Amino acid sequence: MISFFKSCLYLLVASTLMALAIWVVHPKMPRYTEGKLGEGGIFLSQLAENESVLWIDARSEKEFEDGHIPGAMLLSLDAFDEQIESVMNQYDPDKITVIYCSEDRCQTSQKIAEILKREFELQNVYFLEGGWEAWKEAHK
Amino acid sequence: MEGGSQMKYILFIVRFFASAVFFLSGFLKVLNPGGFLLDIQAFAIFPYGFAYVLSLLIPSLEIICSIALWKKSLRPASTMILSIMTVGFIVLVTYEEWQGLNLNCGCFGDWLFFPNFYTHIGFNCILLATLILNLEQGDHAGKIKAN
Repeated sequence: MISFFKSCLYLLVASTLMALAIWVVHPKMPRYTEGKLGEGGIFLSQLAENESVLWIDARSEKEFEDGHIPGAMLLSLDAFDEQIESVMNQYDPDKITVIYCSEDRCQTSQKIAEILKREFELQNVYFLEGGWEAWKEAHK
Repeated sequence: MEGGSQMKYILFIVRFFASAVFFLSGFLKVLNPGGFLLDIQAFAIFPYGFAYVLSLLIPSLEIICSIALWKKSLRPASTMILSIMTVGFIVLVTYEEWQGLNLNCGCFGDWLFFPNFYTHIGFNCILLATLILNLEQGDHAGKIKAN
């Protein structure tokens, strides 16, 4: 029994050390103050009516085909590498880029926003608060 | 004797499966820790600070314990830790389904996509079963060899 608890302790200590190493060394680990959900979001009401927006749909292909914001481009996590080039061709740093997914607590759009900001260094990138549902509600 | 041999191979396959799933899951989470942090936060269960710690600790535990499965002296402890994590994943996925949320729990990184709740739960249950089998048969095989 003692050796079992000792083993647990060894594994927990080793994992903690590894976790610390990741926190210190990993280039993509967000700093504590930067990783909180909800930052980088934008509400529909914050967009001017005739504002030029690059809409990016982060849902699945099927959901996209069933309905999407007019002019939106599909960029899903599972086909990211195939679709990113088209998105980058349309990207304009002077335009707002807004990514949306299916509903308020869907975090795919936030993930993709993070990837675009960190790895591709895009500017003016936000995720849509309330997602596709919010847009549908506003355009009933 | 022959039965013992067959059991040995089955045990190897079972252990390889469990080890591979957790190692790969942990490795992919380490590649994108920010993404995993977002996955945890999306459940809105844990305070941000705790979620931040979990986003670092869970992938580390997965990698360390998946390797430790192959060391006999560490097998019971690593099996227990991985089993607790698997039960935790099952609870989270069930909570997500109950709340009607459309989330990717990030339990296995982004490499495994489950078409629905039942396949997700089914996979987790199979994983749990392999962990328990790995531990129990490991002890049993040891006793056969000793006799």
